[in-house]
Amino acid sequence: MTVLSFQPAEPALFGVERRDAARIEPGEVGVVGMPSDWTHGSRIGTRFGPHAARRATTGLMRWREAKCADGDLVDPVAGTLWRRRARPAIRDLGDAPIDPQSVQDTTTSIAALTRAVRARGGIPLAVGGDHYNSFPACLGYARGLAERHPARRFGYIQIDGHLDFSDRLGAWGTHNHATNARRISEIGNIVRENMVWIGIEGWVDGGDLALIEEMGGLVLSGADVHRLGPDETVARALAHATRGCESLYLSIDIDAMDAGFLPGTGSIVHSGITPRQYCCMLAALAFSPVDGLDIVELSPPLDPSGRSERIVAQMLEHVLRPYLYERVEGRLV
Amino acid sequence: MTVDTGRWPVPAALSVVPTFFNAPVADLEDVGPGDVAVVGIYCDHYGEGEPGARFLPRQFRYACALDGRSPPGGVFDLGDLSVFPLEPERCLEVLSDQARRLARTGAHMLAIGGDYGLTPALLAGLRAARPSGTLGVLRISGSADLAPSGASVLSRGSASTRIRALGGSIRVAFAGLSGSVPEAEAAALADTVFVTARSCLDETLAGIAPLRAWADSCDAIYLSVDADVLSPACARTARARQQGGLSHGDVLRLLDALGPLRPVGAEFTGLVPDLDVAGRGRGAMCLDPVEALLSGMIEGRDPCR
Amino acid sequence: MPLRTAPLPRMAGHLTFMRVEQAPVDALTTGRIGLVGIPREDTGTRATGARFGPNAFRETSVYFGWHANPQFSRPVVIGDRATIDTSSIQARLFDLGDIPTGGLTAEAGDLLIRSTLRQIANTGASALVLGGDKGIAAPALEGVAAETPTARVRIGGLAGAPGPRGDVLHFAPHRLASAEALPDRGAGHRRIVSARQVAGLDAAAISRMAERAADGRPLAVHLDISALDSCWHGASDMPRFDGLALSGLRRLLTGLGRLPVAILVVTGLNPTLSGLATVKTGQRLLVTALLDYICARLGAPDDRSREGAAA
Repeated sequence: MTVLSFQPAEPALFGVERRDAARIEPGEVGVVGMPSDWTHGSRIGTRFGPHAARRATTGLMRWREAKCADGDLVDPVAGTLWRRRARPAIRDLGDAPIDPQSVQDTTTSIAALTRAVRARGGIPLAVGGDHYNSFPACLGYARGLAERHPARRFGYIQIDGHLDFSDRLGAWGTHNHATNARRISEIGNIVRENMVWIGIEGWVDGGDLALIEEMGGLVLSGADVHRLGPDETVARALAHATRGCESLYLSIDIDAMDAGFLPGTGSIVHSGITPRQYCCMLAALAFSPVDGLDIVELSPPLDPSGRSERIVAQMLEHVLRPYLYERVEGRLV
Repeated sequence: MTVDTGRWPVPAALSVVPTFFNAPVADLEDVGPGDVAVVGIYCDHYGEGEPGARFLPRQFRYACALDGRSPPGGVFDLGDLSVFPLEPERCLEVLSDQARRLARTGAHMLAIGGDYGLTPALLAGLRAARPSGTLGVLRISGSADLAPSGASVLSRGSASTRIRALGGSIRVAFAGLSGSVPEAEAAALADTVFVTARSCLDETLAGIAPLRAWADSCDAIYLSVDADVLSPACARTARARQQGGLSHGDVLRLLDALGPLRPVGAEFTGLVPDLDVAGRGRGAMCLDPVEALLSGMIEGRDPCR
Repeated sequence: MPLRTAPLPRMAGHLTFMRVEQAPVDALTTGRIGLVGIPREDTGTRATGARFGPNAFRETSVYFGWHANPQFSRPVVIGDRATIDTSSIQARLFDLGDIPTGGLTAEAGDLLIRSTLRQIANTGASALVLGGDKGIAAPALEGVAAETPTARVRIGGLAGAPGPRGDVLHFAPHRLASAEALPDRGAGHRRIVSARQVAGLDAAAISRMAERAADGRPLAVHLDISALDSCWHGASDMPRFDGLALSGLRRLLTGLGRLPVAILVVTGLNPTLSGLATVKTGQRLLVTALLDYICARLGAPDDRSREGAAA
């Protein structure tokens, strides 16, 4: 007899346990959904991103369980062995309440959750949503960090097709998907000169670029990723972003990937960055001092094929590897 | 569209980028008394539901291009109004200002897209330019939106309340109401002229008699049609509606039965169209109802203009 | 006094190409670019929808309406830090609208296309034609050629027998494994340059190659989306996996755009294929490439500084 195995209607990210922010333990990742695309100016649909990411990551873990019954996985690139954790160090807090009519209320709501996670020693992972929501996610992270480590400041890496460093975007005002990095740069305990952008492509505003470089930030374009390779790119980014910092916030905008591979996002670019390059960068960052992160701009309605959300699941698996898997000693021959 | 010059015909004019009703593009100085100025509204943040109505102006223009119907004279496409979707106070102010300056030309505004939460701003501008007489606002929608207050100055749920609060002689009436009315709105609805969707479905339309009397008592009418008066089978709307709404044909029949209202302004709000560069789908389905609004406005022109 | 006193959201309002002004043909002069759409296709083919190409191009191009928005400073191409001068776009690029071929027979449509393009060529301006399927290319190119002799260059499309007289270069033809598959047949025949060969050429080399082949005549270029490798998009009817990458197409259009070009015809974008995902990707791909062409045509002063990086 075939036994059908159903997924819950609202899966948690990677099918992990659900938990309140108040019960997050130090060292655990606390997942916060940000189902909002009200701050995106053109192609919407990212409000369905958190659910799609949960669905795709849960499907990925089920596939892993089915294919690797003993829990062991091989990383053929690094030649290493990994074992699935029986109890991943990830907890899903659910979604932050969103108010389409008030950017301020949405900001407060998201920031409260990521603050609570970081203040308890956890690592907030905010899942968007459009890229504006990265600002409240980082704002809450920064507040939580200040509560737990009052003297500590943090560096910042944003992998993105765009700078998102405008002070104001025409009709959309000061708080939207093109101003998030600018608003983050104004947070009190960030080290502005440690801000790094990776994967920028196409035309950028010359004034914004000049401001970033005047404040000491580092911009690595999509072409730089091709020229340097993903490992060297991340090495340079980390060297810049962690100068004098023990903490690092990582903002992952999936639109840095070439839209030929990943069309399910609002503001596409043709960077030529492949899923493999992107995942290599995230795998390298998985073992860096990242203690707060977000992943944004997955818009499932823009890619009915579902491949965009499956790529996002792979990206999350790479960046969360230490929390999902544990290393098994020895190397493959 | 061609002038025959033998072997090399010369086009009399290249077709412009898509416009409402394929009408000419114009600005304030091009329109005058009795003209109809069609404008789009790219803002759907206050409809208290699914976003997407911001795309109706674009999809409606595409639908008109695909449909190819000829524009009536005196109808112009003035583009989309300036909006500040994430700054409600500023958005209200700029919408009112544009509506006021447009009304001062003597042209009538037909607004397409956006949500009902923005309507009080448009009416404030219209009223500022034309303060005299009794203005009747006929709202054809599934809900009355008479909540005492909303989350912001543009919240849809309190839009009708805010229209009433504009002062002067503004009267609001409703057609097409369906479903339940929140308790907080029941008292406000009690002293209002309204007819339900069920009355509109009656073959004789006898139930709309109070609306005719109400319209006769007004000096001018502003007609506001929301897509949520339609059955969910006919339209995807910002707010999810329960079954029991009208069909496109029912709406056309209702407008026809109300007689020559000759609105001084009109709008079509709340429709979430398919995003299709070809102009097909649910954007195209609202062509006829919106054209009915336009026809009513054209009929209302001063024949001597 | 204008109705609007504040900037519009990017996707709102009338979507002209890059938000430039609409203008009649007689507004064109030498040094200007007249953009015209030809929303026509052969509806007898198995895949239809290319007639919606012009509006799809316009919709995507508004992402690059920098010159129309005073809030932005000059754009910089991040890959090589080259500053783009958009100051002349508003004054020199005009959207003429679409040629109304709807309802006409193929013959009547061809005549109308020919006459319109002849009119544009007569002004001395360069025409940028957005199709439409590849069937619009012949009458458009003929219309310009009726006014001035041109040297034709093709990018994409099927490889095969040598083309008509004046077809001097064929870049990245479809179904061609390498340039060696067809020999360079000398004067009077087109030279084949495969997508792989394009990958090894910088814009200056492409300019030199085209300049030699044109022999003093202005270029008439036909770009079909089939030039692009399908791994980057899904917006054409026929997939290929030996095509150009975006970088190659950008170098090609930059190299050609620096020469006198009487007309560039872009065909084959089908924006109605399989929903929003692939459609927007293909649109954006072509618009991104067209930006380089427009900047090269308008003589962006910093354009040549990008040479090294492009190589």
